[in-house]
Amino acid sequence: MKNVLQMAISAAAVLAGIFPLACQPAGNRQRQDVPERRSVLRLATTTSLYDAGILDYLKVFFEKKYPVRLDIISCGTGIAIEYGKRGDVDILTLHDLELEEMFIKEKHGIRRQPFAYNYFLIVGPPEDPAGIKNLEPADAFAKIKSEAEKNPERIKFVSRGDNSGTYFRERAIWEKAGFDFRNIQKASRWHIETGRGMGSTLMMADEMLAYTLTDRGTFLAYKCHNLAPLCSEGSQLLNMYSAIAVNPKKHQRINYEMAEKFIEFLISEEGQRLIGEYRVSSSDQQIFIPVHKGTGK
Amino acid sequence: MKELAGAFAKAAQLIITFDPQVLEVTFRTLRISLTSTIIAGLLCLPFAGIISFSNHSGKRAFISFIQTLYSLPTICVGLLVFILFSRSGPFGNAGILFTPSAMVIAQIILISPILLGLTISGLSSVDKPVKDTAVSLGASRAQVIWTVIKEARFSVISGITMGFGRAISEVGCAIIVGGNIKGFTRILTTSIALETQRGELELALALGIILLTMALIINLALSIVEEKSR
Amino acid sequence: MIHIRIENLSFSYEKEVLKDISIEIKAGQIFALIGPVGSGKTTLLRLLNLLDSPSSGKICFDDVEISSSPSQKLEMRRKTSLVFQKPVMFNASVFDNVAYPLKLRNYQRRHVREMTERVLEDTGLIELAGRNARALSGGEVQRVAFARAIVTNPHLLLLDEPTANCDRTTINLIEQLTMKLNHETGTTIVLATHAMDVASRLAGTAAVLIDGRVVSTGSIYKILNLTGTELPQTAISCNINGLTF
Repeated sequence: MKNVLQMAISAAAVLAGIFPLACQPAGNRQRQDVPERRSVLRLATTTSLYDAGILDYLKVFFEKKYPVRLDIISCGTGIAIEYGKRGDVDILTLHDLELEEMFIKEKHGIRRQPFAYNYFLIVGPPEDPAGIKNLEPADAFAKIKSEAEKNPERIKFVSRGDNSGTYFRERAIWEKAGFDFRNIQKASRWHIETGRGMGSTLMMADEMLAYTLTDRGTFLAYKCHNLAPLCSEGSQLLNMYSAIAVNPKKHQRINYEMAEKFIEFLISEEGQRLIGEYRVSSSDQQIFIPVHKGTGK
Repeated sequence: MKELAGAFAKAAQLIITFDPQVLEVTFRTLRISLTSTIIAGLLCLPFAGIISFSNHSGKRAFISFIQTLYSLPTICVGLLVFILFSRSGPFGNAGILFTPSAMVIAQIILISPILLGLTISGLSSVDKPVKDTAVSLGASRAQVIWTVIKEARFSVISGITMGFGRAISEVGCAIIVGGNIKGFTRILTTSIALETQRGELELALALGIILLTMALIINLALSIVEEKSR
Repeated sequence: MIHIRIENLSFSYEKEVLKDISIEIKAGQIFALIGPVGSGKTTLLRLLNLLDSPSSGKICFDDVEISSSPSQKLEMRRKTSLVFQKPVMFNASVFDNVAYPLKLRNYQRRHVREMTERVLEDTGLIELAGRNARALSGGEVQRVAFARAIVTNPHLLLLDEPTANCDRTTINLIEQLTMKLNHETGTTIVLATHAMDVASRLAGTAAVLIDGRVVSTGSIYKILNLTGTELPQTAISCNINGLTF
């Protein structure tokens, strides 16, 4: 019996040792001399872009065109930028202009290429107790604040609170409306920070019948029972997604060649068409608008 | 409450139809956690034996240190491994960040304190007369350690089971060092986190049920092995 | 078949347990260490088994002094077996317990099986071979410990109160096997006991240990004559040097 035990453990160890090797793709960087071996392109993206599912969709087409394995890491904007600075990824897709420009300015990235956009939405309970429907975003926020201060039990605003692109946009709108964001954050009776992703934040707003700022993609993908879009226009709500290739001179082994190819793919005619055509299963509304309409350049 | 019922139904459906994504993710979870548990066991058991038998003055302090590490948050271990293996880090050239290998390493670091601590504890509870008997009957130092480990085998197997449990259930490490890359480093726990974040609660719970079922099967197998070895 | 010479051996552990012991045990003898509880018999056996190190003095086996070298000690221990007063059973079957010393010495599986089975038969344990050794009675444990000690055909066998708390059958069995081992293979046997009858039945030579000192040595008859007793069947109290035990 002891021998059975010993054999079983040896077998398990051998299997466990072999399996990870056997099942990992033989992907290796910079092996373009052997065409069947795929190089690896690592992309860090904001969660809102990933959760809409479009990147997994585009990945299929991209991997057919080139001998590459596209590894997509979905994380907050803050972390994605950190990965880029450290050289742990080859390309970023973000939606925060200020941070992107700083990234390029600090020479962590080579080029910022916008490739798609949509609009943020201010969503809330359909009865709209604060009465913000169709207002300009800054006005809507101001109204939410004044109504919530009068009636914090009934009127609430749920915020990402996680240094994401959406969160930074929320802050920008508050500031456009003339408020110091730190004071808004302190008003925790009606301004609630979840520190979580868009889906979780929407879930909480859904439960609490509260207002929140969300990107269109996540909102369409997530089935909210109690929320409706109330404000969807205004330049403050423009949500532009851009891709940035990480600077290969700052770190070793950045797959710059493939990063460039992916950016080219995104703004090519094919890529732009795919972006425009993309739908989530639960809705046939367009989520992303390609930057080059019609003929891609 | 209806989510729970729906979750069981969904879990059954995913299992019966051999849903390929769930299968892929489940096998990867098993592979990574089994590998890390086995390697951690091979490293920690002899080390625990040596510590248990030494009379070094720092032994007490070392054991306390190990027990403190039980409370190590998984995210902290993940951050540590990330910093070590990031391209900007000391071992960046290994190129293993965002691969299953990094996840194995992180899990080994995570569960080693548990394996060490519980094994040392189990070995210490084996009486000195047992050790004396082994020495007297002609056991070399290594053989004595092996004999005491076998005498304490129930504690040791408990420790291994607990280590495996921690490895297979952790999220923080896996997400940070693995990146939750679909088709490559996505495992059950990180899938659960992702689906929760997306609001797919039923699917998240269903995956949780599958995870528990798998852990149950493994624990049953371990206890059968333990029975047979009596 | 090992010749033992102990010279000026002392051992202290919080207090002095053995004081300046000098004994010579010839190869192939059955030698008894007689003394009351606490006289240091067990300590002396442990020192002979190289489990502990003496505070001073030396032990020579076949005229080779034992140094502090671990490999030399291991080699000597592999030729010696000690049956403790309260033997410890491993949490395994009787068979595995008895086979244990053979496996330590890397005997082949086939030999392990043969030798273990033979010893189990000799000690009347073959029926219990599959049972967990921790579930046995006191007498059965003693037999298993004895079997485990002799399965390797040791050159030196050390027995610490081997038949204390045993039933009559076990006592007879162990005594017979001890004598058989000595006659057939010439194994040197050192037997620690407080029971005069056991010592007289088995041993040819003896030393009396009181309070850590050797008070007399010589043939068993001489020792027993000193006490002025016949050869009793049961242990009765004796008087040596004014001390009763």
